[in-house]
Amino acid sequence: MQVCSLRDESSSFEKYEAHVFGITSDDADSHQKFSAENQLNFPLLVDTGRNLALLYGAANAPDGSIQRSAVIIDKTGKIIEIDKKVNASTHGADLVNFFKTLETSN
Amino acid sequence: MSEIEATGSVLFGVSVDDVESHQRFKAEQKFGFSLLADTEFEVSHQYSGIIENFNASKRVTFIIDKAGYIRAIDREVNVKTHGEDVVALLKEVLPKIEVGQPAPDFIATDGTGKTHQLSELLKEKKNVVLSFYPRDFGRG
Repeated sequence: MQVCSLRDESSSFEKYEAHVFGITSDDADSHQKFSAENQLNFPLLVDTGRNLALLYGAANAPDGSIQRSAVIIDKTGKIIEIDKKVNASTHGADLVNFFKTLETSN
Repeated sequence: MSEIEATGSVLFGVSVDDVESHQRFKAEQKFGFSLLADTEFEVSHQYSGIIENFNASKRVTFIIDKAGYIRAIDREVNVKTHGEDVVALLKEVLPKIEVGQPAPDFIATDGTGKTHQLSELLKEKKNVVLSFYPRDFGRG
């Protein structure tokens, strides 16, 4: 699962000073249950109106489905990566690799 | 497609006139967009304000993004150049989700009710990852 792959990389995200958020159109109750069940160590944002998903291009309509995608924002507030082809099982590791490459190129 | 539609926007004209007046006006001027009948002055009170002695909406244009955030307010509408002014404003203020562009600010709550705002997170000098997926209990 996409969220479990993020959970398993939490120490790397800490190292690269990244806040990670999962976002779906589910409500707070669902997020709490889902977080507990999967022992998630990062927050899930409630986006029942798809406002965030619409804003960031992950949905096309307020009642539409949210597509698997990721946006990385750097410390200055700039978008540095958009991943529209998220692989749910390697997502966490893919993000860590991105940060690793970024660190080496700087 | 109009230049306004090309920016992914939908345009509405709003006045306190009734539907019948709007229909005649639209037919006469051949507008390609909808006119909203704010006969109860609700939208005008909330957005534009009212010209007192004239009992009509003030000339104001709001630009609202897909998420419902107001991105610009033009209170000095120039009736001659307004169309092109709006197109220029749309291109300037609508968030562009592209690498290298500034990330648009947002505020959202998590499952525990805690609020997270992008501009506040950035003050901590941290990177931010937004990971979207369809449903919690649907393969997560």
